[in-house]
Amino acid sequence: MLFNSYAFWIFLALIWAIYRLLPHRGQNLLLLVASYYFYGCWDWRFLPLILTTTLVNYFTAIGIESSDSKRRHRSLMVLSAAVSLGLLGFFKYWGFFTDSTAEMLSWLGFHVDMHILKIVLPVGISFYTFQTMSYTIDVYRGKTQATRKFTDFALYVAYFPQLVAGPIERSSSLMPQITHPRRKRQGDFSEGLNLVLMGLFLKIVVGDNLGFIADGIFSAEKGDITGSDALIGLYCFAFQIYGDFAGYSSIARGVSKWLGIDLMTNFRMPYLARNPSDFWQRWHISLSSWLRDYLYIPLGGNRGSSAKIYRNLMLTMLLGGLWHGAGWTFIAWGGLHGIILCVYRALGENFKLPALWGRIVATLIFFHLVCLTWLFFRADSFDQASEMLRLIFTQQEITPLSRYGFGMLAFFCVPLMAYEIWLNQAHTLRRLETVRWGWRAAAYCYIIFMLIVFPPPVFGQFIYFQF
Amino acid sequence: MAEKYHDYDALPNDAHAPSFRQELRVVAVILGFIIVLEIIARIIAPTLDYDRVNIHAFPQTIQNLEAHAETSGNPRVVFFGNSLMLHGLNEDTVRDELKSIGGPEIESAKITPVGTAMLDWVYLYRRYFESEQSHPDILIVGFVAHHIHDQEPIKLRRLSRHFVTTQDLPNLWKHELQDFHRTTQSILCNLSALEGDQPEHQLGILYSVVPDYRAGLNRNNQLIASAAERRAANNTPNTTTEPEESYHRMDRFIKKCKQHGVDVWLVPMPQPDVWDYNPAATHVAEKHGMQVIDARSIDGMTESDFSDGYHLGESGAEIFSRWMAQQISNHRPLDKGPRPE
Repeated sequence: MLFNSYAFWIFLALIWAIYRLLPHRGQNLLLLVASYYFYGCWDWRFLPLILTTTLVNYFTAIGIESSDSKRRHRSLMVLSAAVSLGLLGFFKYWGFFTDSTAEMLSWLGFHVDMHILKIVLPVGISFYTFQTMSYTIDVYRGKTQATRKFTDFALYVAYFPQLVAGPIERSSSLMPQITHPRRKRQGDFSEGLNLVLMGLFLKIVVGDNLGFIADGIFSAEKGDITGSDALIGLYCFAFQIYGDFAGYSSIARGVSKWLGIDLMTNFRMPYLARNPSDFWQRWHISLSSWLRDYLYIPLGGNRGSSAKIYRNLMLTMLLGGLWHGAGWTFIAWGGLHGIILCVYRALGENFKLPALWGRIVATLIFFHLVCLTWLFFRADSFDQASEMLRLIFTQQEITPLSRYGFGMLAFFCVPLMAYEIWLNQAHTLRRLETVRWGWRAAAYCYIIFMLIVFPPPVFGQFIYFQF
Repeated sequence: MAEKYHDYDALPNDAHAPSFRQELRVVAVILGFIIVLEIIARIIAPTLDYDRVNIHAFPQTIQNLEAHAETSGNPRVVFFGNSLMLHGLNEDTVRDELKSIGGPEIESAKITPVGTAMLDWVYLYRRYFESEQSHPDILIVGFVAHHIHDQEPIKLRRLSRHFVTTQDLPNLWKHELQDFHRTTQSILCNLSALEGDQPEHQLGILYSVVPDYRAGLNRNNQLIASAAERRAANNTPNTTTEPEESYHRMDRFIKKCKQHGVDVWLVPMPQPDVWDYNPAATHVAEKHGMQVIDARSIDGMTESDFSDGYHLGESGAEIFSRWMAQQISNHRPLDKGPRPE
């Protein structure tokens, strides 16, 4: 059940209508049943998996809190992490590791016939695994209390708006909103409407339309495209993945607002970032802050020698890359971002660009650096990535395909970027809610027009479901 | 550095979030806007493009056919199909040729929306010829191979908007649409010109604002299609046979025509090269007592008679139309008998 499908909106309308009539406990039970139904619509066979993760983390968290023994705390924490990461590792990375091992052995001259299992990746496993782990770690660290009510915890893990593609919530933020009665708040409807419409625009109009072009260019055989085609394909992918993922997050937040629950902001105009540090405070914020709090800081963070800090940065980003997908190109993507962060840390402060033009230049340069990393993220292989890179730098030749791609990029992205610059100037994502209602209505009419007239040629899945 | 101390999710200090009631005005404007768009879409629909002009003329075309047949008592012949028949057959030439060879007089009409296939024709026929009194004596259907088998993909928006009647939607769902999303889409397209004609609206705008839109889109489609072919070849390395074709849509189409006592002539159309005609399709036609009149290779027709390597040009249409008149004259099953109950 996709956010861009009719079925989802009918499902939501039904849930919402009943939800308004129920008391707090009933609301939670309804949301839990709806969440499991929502997840079961993808594949009911994965329901036991999410239940296992829920049960293990529920009981280990209670076990940790009920005991005074540090040793028991640690062993329960290890057990919980082992089960969560074990399931994630098996379903997501088993094929990758066995493939890579077989290739390496073959390269060393050992011919091993490894039995490689083809395992279906349960949708959203990376997201809910990290969410449940953060809960247990927080209980272990004494930062949050273990919940005794199983249905509340189960809802925390499976809450349907953010179940399959985030934002990866923290127990300190989401859990109290589940356990306490929710109150009607002025502005929830308007903010929800804003988020839902913006999300649909990002996903359907920007992401899917440009994804169609990126898919064509990235599926070309050697010699079929020029450097300008490759560059346009890369730009299209940059906006595809942004539209796709930020669109999902925005719809998830909007829908959740209508249910009276706040989810964290996952994207803040990321392509207006001027440096890598800025970028990671704008892109997939729920993951980057998770990696910061549960990996980078425990590794030592900014403490210690420069070498240790660079090591911590590289390890965090490499694992961040691996989180995105079981493939060497994803690891390379993470590695490149790690290198960019290290270089920025070493030199960045020396390259302060003055005033407005300096900021514009910095934004443009950094956008292209991000696009360079997207090449590895999207390419099917290193060969394809290096070939496209070679074309971009050596064979610029304007073709009808690149003119078409550029025109489509301008048509869909210029209004989006203009809107984001306008938001960025006010340092708020809610600026549209503060203007006169007529202007807001006009903006929404534009979005509705684009949604109706410019759906993509192919009905689009969400890219991040595969992560 | 980023403005990390700003709370991007908060409203500015002096601002208040609009209340639910206040925001209902915005919702009302959006709904009004959609209604205005729908009205505009309905106004421009008949002139949206060449195909829409053609489609919107069908009711008048059929009315004229009925009126002329009523007056003259001549049999009604409807040429059915897509752009192949649209460009390939000249009704005046057919009538002239029939006259010159002493063939029967006929009243004719062309129902030929471009880019259509058997699935569209099933519903198109039901839409315009459902009534007992209003259907042709002979229905001549022109096609090439992929138009008649069930594996031809559905163009859902136009089909739902222009060919399927609202009453016939359940049939479409039963036979062709198993998923909820497409079923819902078919309802929306059937009810709304904005939804049903959306591809033409999109094309019209993008064609005028995006440079090289058509050429670039075609190139992109080619790249995607080649990649899909390579993937299919890699997934099935040992099989070389095409997926098996089936003809359930054609079977339903002929059955419906047969109910009305319509004589269906299936005409495999000429192409620059003679193409393979699946004998299973002939079997379906013959099972119902209908005939296949093979036009794949017509004497005197050469590659230069095709305007674009696919459609017949002016000279080709002349040859095909005269050939068609000969067939009508030869087969002569044109005496109007009583209609079956």
